[in-house]
Amino acid sequence: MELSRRKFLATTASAAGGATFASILANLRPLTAAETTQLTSTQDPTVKRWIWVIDLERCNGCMKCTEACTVEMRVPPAWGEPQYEGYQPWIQVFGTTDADQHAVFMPVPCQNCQNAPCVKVCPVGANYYSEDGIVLVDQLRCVGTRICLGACPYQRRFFNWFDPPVPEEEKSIPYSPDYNIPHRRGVVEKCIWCRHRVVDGKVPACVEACAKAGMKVLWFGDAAQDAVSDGEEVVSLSQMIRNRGAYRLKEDLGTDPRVIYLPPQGGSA
Amino acid sequence: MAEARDTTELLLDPLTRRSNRYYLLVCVLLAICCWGVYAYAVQVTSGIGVLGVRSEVMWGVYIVNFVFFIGISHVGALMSAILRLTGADWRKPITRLAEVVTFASLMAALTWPIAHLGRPDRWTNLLTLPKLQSPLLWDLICISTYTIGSTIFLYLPLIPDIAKCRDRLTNVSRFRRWIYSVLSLGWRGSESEMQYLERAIGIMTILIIPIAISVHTVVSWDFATQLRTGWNSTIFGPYFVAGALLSGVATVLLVMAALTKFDHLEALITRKHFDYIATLLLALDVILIYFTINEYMVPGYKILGQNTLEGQWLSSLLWGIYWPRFWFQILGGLILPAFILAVPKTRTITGYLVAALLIDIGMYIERFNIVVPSLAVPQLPYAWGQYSPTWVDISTTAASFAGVALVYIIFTRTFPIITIWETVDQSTDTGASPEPHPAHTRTLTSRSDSAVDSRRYFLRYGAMMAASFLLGSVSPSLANTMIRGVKKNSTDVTVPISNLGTSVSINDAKSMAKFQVAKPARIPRESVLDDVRVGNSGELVTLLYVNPTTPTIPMYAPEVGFAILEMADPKLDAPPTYLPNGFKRVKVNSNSGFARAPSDAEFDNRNEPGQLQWWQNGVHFVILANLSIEQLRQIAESMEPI
Repeated sequence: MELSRRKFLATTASAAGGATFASILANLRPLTAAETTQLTSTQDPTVKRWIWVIDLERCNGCMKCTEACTVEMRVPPAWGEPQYEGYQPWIQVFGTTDADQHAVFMPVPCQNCQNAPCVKVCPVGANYYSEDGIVLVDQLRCVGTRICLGACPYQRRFFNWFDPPVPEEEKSIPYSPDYNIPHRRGVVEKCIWCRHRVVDGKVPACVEACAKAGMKVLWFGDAAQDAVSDGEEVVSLSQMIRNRGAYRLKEDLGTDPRVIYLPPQGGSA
Repeated sequence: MAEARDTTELLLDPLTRRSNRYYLLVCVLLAICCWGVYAYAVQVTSGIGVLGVRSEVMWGVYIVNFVFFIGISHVGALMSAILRLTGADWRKPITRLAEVVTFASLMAALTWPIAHLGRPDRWTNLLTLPKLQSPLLWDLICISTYTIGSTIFLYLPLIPDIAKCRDRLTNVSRFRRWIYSVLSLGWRGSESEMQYLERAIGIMTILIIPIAISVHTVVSWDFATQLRTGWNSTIFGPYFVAGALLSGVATVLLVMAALTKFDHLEALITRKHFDYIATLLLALDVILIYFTINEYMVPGYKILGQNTLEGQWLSSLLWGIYWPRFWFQILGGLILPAFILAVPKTRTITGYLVAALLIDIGMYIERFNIVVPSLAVPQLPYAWGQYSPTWVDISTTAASFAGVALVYIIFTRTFPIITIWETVDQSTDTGASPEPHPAHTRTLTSRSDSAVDSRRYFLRYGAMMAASFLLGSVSPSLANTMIRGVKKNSTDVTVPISNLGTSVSINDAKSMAKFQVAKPARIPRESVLDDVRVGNSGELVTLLYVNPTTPTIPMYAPEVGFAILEMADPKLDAPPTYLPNGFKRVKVNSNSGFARAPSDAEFDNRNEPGQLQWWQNGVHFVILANLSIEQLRQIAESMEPI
């Protein structure tokens, strides 16, 4: 048989491809449940799975969380956006009235989606998940395309439109995505669940402020250990959300957020 | 032949003519450009907040301009490739002028993505730290390919004409003669040269069509891939491509009218060309009307009147705050031009121009209607986003339009805007000689038997291109995988500052640590080991030194002279593949690492100690000190196990 060079190459390539595929096929077999977990889970069991429970029943809209956040994270101003009252609302409190004319408030921090649209769209990989699942922004890498502002279905991303004011004492703080201070111009800002505090075993600043104000709306914890805390007491996560109609924001988008809301009891939320 | 010589003279004449009107026009356009550059300088110095964009409507006219100019640029591919393949020979006199529209508008379109960045100083990150999952990166790849491709496509058929300029225009400035002689690549017009040229043009014809289509499709994906009200559309790709062709052809019609008026090219660009282009415009207009019906009516049937985000978005367009723009786009930019172009009474040059102008304005507004209202819809129940362009937005936009006009005018005064060798030489040759010129039988469409040729070309180069596209899309991810390994590499190379652990003695540290602790043998004079800490269940050991001679580093309290961190962190057991900003690569005893000199407070308001990080025997070492990189390296190289 006469073989042209092209035909020879094509035959060899397809034979090699076929052989590779055949070897994969030969090793395919049903997996046990344990093996499946082992193959699909990239999580180290010691790694935390941070979770946030927000009990809307108790929220009276005092905005202590937003204030504490602004102080703790030295949040930059929201230039020319009067509805934000001066500072970027990394945790923003929304308010409305329910059917019985009762006021209902809803604090919204970054939802820290486990399938975060903002991480997907970044062209330089400045958005990433920390190993415990918190979405962080490397502001030294961010180029400011702002596509993540458009991608976030919760509008929890903010942008430094001008040079943020940096007091002298902030200049010496070493920058880290875990504690994104000092702030700088032209990059994206977001709530990072006070990662610098939670790796130290503390709850985020807003949770602490909420408990200090006696509200106990915000609860922060570890889903892997089934525990949430407001900084003063620790309760069981599953106990807390049982029979409360717990829900997550925009569940239908499939972003898999880590914030669980407990609607007001008796009300319609 | 005399007639042919006259036509050549007519086409070369504008290259030597320089009227006062021309200089005035160039000066006005240059002034507008300079004003735009000033406005952009204001944006760069004071921050992107001088634009109208804010955190809800975070993209404004910069992105609208980008989409609009990319759209206009499609006409070159349509005119020279699609019409060439379909054998429309009447396109010859207007091919090049369409390609120059492509070239000029691409130049404008390329500036916008960089100009709209919050940190234009870091734009190279898009090249050095790319992430292929992002639609913006697909944009970058497609547009740069298209720019190169369409520039080649403009240049190839220009070569014989540049040679003609080189030979004929001997009384122009030395600089221009030099340009002509360099760009004509020593063209002599021999038969073999002609054959090569025809073949090259044939290849580009096939290549440019899928590239052009991909460009605008990918631009539409910037929007369609986002979880945004109003952008959840599967027809955005073809919708954008159709709109692009429509606005491009309308622009070409305007340019044709301007050229016939100012350069007296009525003999070449005749009424027939206007009629054909107008018919093409009508066809494209009807196609876009069809897409618009699909885009708004079908969702409208389901969502209009609902109190959902989608419902609110559509009513804001139909009778909310955006209604004037929306209905102008529909009625003034699509329906009215269709009537003007279709009714025999208005099929005059003036009618065509009115229709083309309306279409262009309508298409600009269409882009605005796609970008802004979707972003203004509040994603959480709150206030609608506001957007109005500021003076910076308007100035830079005006400068961009002026720049396109300027590039165009300078081109028409430097190179013949109508291809001489195709319109004049080829037609006279075939008329004069009894047998067709051998070179011309290789043209894709000039003869009927070339259909076989073109199919062969199409198959061969189509297959080549598909293969290279595949390779191009697969190879970066393959390379990435090989470099980084399959496991997810952490991008986090930051130094832990809190949670260093408990204070212990150096000997305790040795037993507590899960790895071989090392200690430097050479340290700066008068340094004293002040504290040793072990944290992270034995995976982090920190040596804190005090030194009266070096400036302290402020990140640890109490302050220390320098700190050496040793981490057995399995997630960071190798250097990251990318280099953080401000770092450079160094070798420490032939182990790879990177270092940064101490920085003063500068643009980023950062005031950080020098840093040297390296990886050795599975341990990640970090030295922080206000010392030079060389001094840091000397400490690093003297590390010895204890």
